Amino acid sequence: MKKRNANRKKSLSYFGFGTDIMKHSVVCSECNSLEPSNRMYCSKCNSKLPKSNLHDLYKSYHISCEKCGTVLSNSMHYCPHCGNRVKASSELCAL
Amino acid sequence: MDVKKNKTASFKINKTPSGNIYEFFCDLSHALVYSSKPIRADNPEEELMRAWGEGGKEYFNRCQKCGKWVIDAMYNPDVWSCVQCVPIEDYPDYCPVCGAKSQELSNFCHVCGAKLFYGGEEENEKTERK
Ligand SMILES: [Zn+2]
Ligand SMILES: [Zn+2]
Ligand SMILES: [Zn+2]
Repeated sequence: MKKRNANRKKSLSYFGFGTDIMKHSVVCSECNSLEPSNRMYCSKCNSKLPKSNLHDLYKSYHISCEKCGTVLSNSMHYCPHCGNRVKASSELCAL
Repeated sequence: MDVKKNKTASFKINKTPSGNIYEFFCDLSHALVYSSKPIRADNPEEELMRAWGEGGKEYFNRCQKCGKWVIDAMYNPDVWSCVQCVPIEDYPDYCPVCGAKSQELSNFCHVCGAKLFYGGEEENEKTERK
């Protein structure tokens, strides 16, 4: 599965989609320019770029596996990557 | 921000002497994606749709679930949705429903029969259609 997923990742990135692209992109909070995440300052307005990239934004929308960090959809009971049991949302509320 | 049932991505208008410049932003990341040339039309609606049609639209993907317009990075092409509505899935090593170790190259769990790749999505669609 590893190889299959690596190939899949590659082709997603090739077309500009996927989590690797998110990790490499930040949006300037001053001028909204889309910038590569390795830059410190915005190429358009020279403001300091935020630390959080688009992948952080993506993760903020969803729950992630507590063990391996894989982003999970609501319907999953087990992490598809490491097999860890996902806590039901009712259990999460109780915590 | 959301304008007229998401006919276009969110936008800002900059008024200039030679016309209005429309700036279109990704509805999720708020990245500035496209700035139009200065445009003048008879009414605001027409102006907007011209700016959108003449270049704005081609940089965006529309989420089939929520209608947001997003850049490629925030789009899940597997299911034509934004990554807020449906997270991107990898081929699973474990069944997301029963936790059984999945077998290489099978589309369904050999223990519980659940669809392994975007199985939850299909479930959602089925219940929506009912
Ligand atoms: Zn900037
Ligand atoms: Zn995991
Ligand atoms: Zn959506």
